[in-house]
Amino acid sequence: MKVHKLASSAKTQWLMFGRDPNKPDKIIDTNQYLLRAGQRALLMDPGGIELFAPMLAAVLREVSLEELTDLFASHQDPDIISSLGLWDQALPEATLHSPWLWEGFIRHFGMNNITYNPIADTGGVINLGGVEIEMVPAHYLHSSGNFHIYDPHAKVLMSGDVGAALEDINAPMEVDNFDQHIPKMRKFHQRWMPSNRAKLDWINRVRQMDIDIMAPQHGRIFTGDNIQRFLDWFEGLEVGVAVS
Amino acid sequence: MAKTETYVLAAKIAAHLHYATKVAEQLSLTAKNAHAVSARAGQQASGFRAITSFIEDLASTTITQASLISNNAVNISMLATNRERTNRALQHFLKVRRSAHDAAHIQSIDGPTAITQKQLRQLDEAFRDQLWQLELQLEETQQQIRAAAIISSTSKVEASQAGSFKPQLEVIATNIANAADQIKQHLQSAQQLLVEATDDLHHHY
Repeated sequence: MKVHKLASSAKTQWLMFGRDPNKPDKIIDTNQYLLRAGQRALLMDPGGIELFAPMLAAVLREVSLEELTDLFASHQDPDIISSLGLWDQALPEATLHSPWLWEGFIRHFGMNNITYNPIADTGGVINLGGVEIEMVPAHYLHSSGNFHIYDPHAKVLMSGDVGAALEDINAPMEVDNFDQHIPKMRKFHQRWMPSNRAKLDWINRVRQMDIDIMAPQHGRIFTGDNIQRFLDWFEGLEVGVAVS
Repeated sequence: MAKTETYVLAAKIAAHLHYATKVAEQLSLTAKNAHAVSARAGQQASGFRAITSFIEDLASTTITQASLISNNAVNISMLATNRERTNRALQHFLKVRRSAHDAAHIQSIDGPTAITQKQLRQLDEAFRDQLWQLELQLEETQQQIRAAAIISSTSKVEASQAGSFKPQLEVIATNIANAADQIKQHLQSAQQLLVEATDDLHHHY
């Protein structure tokens, strides 16, 4: 599991985990993000059951389990949170922030100890020892109950499946040439994103945010002008194409 | 450590007991039918009528006990599943302890590891206890089915002495014998599976 220092501010530090060389071939590569604020840490989209051991090992290089107080699952998919039953044993005191819509489903992954914080449709705030992190609605992008994480201190938007690309695990961490990156994203967004209306609603809200880094759950991160380029490209992209 | 298949074995035991319940329900109907026929036969089947209430009681007890055992077996299967999951977490923790021994915060895995080990021991204890209880319950039911075999031979003898009702009562007697035999088979299969599950337990703990 590779670890990449993504961003830092006076209050928060971001780490990105992914590109696991030991990952079984047929499972999709995922990015996991760890946000640290003082003595508290938040792990976002902790990943599938297959990734648990390498993720736990990577996390323990950065924070102790006592510090890892919060988990976030943007939606209910197995590559996001099927490791929950194992984290539940490792972090019995932790809180999982996840859409209210999926609580009854996510609990199927096994949750006897962790506390479930159901996020309202309008979003909410995670308070990490006085440092507030925002949970931003991203419904239907792609899941019907879906959130992203925005850190206004480090200006990072963890954008879940928005901006995701399917490519080799040896690919660089950051998008360098946006135009060359488009073919790696197009089909993914056209097929997985079901609603043009939801897409435009999200774009309009994200345009109001001050973002230095946009960090999706698969593929590379976007920085600088590439964030604007992505929003423009996504705005013009017809999604929900499986229904002709 | 419980083998992966333990929860499958317990689920199979539950299925056999479920089938035994279904056969016992048939047996109960047969007993009611026997009661009606022997009442019609009057004096000719007085001997047969006397045993129909035994059959009804037997069917009713078998239904109750087999359902109870089936539920217990499902609980054992759930316990075994829970154990499997807890053990999987423990194996992951131990693996990380070895592979990331140089990680700055590796010692923070020791707390959850100790708690998980304790939970496993508690699950093992509950598992052993429930398997033992299941063994007793199966043995008890098996003994009652042995009584059914005696009743079924008696009913055959009584049927042969029931004059014009002989053919009808003989069919009923055969049905009783078949039902008792089927229940016995299911209980035996359940007992064999239980021996397998218990062997695994002794082998691994």
